[in-house]
Amino acid sequence: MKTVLEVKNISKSFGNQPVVKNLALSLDKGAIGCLLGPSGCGKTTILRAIAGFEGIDAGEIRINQSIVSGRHILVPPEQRRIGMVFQDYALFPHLSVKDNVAFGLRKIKGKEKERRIDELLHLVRLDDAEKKFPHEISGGQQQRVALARALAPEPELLLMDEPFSNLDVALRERLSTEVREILKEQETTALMVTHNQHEAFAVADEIGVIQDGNLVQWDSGHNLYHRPANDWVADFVGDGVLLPGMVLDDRRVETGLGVLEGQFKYPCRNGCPADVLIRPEDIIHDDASNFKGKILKKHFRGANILYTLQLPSEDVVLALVPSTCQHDIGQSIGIIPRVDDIILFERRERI
Amino acid sequence: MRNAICLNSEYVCQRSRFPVWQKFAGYLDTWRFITYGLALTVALPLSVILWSFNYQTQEIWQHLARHMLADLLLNTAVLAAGVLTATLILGVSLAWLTGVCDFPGRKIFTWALLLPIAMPTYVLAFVTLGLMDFSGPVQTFFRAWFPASTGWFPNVRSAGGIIIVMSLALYPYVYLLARGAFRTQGKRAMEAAQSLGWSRTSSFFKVALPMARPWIAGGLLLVLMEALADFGAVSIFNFDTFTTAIYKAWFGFFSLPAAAQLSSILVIIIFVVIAVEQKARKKKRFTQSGRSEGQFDRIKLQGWKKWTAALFALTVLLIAFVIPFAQLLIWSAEIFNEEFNFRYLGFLWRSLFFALLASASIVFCSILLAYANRQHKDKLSRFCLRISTLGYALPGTVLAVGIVITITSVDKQLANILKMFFGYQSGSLIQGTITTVVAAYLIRFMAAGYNSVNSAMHRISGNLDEASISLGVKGVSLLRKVHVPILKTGILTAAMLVFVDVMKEMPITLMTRPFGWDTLAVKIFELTSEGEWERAALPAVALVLGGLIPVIILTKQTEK
Repeated sequence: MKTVLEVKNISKSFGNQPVVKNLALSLDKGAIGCLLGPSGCGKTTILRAIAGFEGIDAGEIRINQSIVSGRHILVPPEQRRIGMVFQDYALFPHLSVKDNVAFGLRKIKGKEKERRIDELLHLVRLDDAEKKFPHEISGGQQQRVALARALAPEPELLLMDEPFSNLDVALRERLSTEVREILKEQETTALMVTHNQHEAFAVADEIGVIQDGNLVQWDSGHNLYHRPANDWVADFVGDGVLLPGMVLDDRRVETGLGVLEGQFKYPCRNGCPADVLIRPEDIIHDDASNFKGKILKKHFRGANILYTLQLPSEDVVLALVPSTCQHDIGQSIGIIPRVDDIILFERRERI
Repeated sequence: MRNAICLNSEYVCQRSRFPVWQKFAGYLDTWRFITYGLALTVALPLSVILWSFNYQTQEIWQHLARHMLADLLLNTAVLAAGVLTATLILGVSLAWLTGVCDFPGRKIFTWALLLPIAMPTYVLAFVTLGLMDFSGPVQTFFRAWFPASTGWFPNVRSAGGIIIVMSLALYPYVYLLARGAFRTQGKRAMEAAQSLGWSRTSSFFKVALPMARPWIAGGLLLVLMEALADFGAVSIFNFDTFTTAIYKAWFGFFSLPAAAQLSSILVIIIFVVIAVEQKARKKKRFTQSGRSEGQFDRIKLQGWKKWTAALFALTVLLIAFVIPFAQLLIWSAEIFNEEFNFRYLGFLWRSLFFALLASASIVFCSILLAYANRQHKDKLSRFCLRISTLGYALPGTVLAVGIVITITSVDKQLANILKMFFGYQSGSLIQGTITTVVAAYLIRFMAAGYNSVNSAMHRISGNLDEASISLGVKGVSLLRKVHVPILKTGILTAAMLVFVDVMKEMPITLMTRPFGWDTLAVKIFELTSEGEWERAALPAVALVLGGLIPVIILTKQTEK
């Protein structure tokens, strides 16, 4: 499989402030990657560096094996054969939808150009909007025009900067899956940047979690959720708590939920403290159980209710319970822990 | 007025402690009154002018029409075409260089290229003539070094000459607006174009420049209106346009009606220009909002390009401001001792007096108008608002004609009333007093004052009032604690802009001033009509220094 994008240990500082620290990743042809992280973590800077709008201080970036960014080299964006979808779409207001999409089609002319434009407008389901202007179409439609425009010249790599953040929630979910389908159909290699993990899960094959300019884990969505590399990732991706516990032996950890049995990876095997990741779905509500948790907080979520429970050991856990069963704050409900994957992290002092 | 403080909250009005006023306000909405009143004040002279189009043909008019009209139209067209082309090229190229590129001295040139705004067009005109005249330094220099060229020097008093002078004085409008558009609109769009394979330079021409079109058009329209309205510069150059013809008809042929008829033609031309401006302004709303998205990386010019750019900017700056101003200073120094006397201080005093009086009344009316606009946004009110601020488009000469005719008839009615009721035979009451002059200033410069106050007013959103009232601060306290601090800068800016505009104003003052009320501007015009460049330089220096104030304000605003 061909490697389309290769980022080798890049670093970037703005003034004295390091923003990207020794970051490395790669994308094969046809893969969709995503950089996920909170605001200000440097993910947009990384994207812009790959696009060529920013330089890098160390390391190198290669697209299709040719070097495009390095300490002393910066190939300008127009020569990199990339496509970019900006957060605010950046459609040209003085051009119609058709002219916007055609903007990057410099090498083909005439009938072939027309065909390509029609093909793309059909792909994003905007066949009727050809003659309209950006201010005459809705936000979702603008986003699709931006995508069509970027895909028109068949770029080697498509870059997307928080493409869904300007849309309302319902539209976001729908468009996320649509965009993934379009990209897969066109076999486009793409890299997306977002702070919204749901979008990341919906669109990407591989997700890189960025914390303060460092790439903490590069993995599939499933692994990020079930096998987080460290406690920060565990906290950032999905809900959950870290329960203090004591490793008893190879297969047993003692916690406020009782003794949990299963396979786990941890350097120490005998009598050392550790934190256990407990996700809300690891706690099952069972009225028959003698083991009780007291409800501290309640968060209605439609299909489920997220309860914050206090265990007899004074530890706090989250439990996800179907909303058909309603309980009040202060009540104690029966629970059974069912932790399939035991994930341990080094014990850390927490406030 | 208590009801004046009833802002957009019913709560406040109902709790008013003066029920009598409350009732009164119900019948007569003061705000509407103000808007209609001001609109009427502007509309009267204007309609008088337009009405005069119907005058019976008089001998003078026939003479004018047969001999002069064609020339006037031709001259106006040539002037307009020339000035528009030159300011377009100068303004856009300089805006491109200082806004998008980087070259030596760029930072200084960015604001320095605005300096020509400080110099009134008629001042630049006479300095140019003085410099380029037969006995001026330039020709003397040429004759000394190239004796063969005697008699060959191009005639400065020509269409070419006035076009160059006016373009140098007016390019800053296009420069300012184009530059603002380039800096605020461009970054995202240019990056998008780059990501689609276009180089930075071609991205600029294909994307940033077209997106700036509405702003460039706005600048060009301002230039056009200034060019059509100009009186001083074209007189000095003996270049006959409508404004000079109006003046000559009135003061030369003593035919006010003929002047009015010429005015009406000019007004029709201007209305066409305004209609185009309105259309262009509508288009502006559809372009991306000018929220500054961060400045893009400038295109760093290399090698001979950067030095050419620097040289170009420097040359423009020199011939548009530095050399003329230097010449003014030299002349002033030469005659300072003779001229700086009691009489001169009199001119200065009268200029200041008019400027202060006009400034105060305009700012007062602007505040009223701005509040009225806030209260009532219905179509009629907005239409009246537009009329009230229409004066800026009317040339000073036209306005003077309109005002004098209007006030003469008002005078006649007043005289009749006085005679009827009091048996008192009076002469003209208003005509020939400073009321006429100040009323004309009010109409002409209302827009300048209103725009500043109104943009400050926009920062007081309706939510602000409601938040304040919900916290218990209403009525006069609301004005004092919330409105005044926010409006302060806007009011101050308005006052300063109007002050400077009135100080520099010449045609209206020239044509409507009471006997003996010569201002600096009028004095300059009289002296230059007689070729006395040096003596005119002293008052000119004062005006240019005063004119620097708006330039400083503008520079500060654009740096934001």
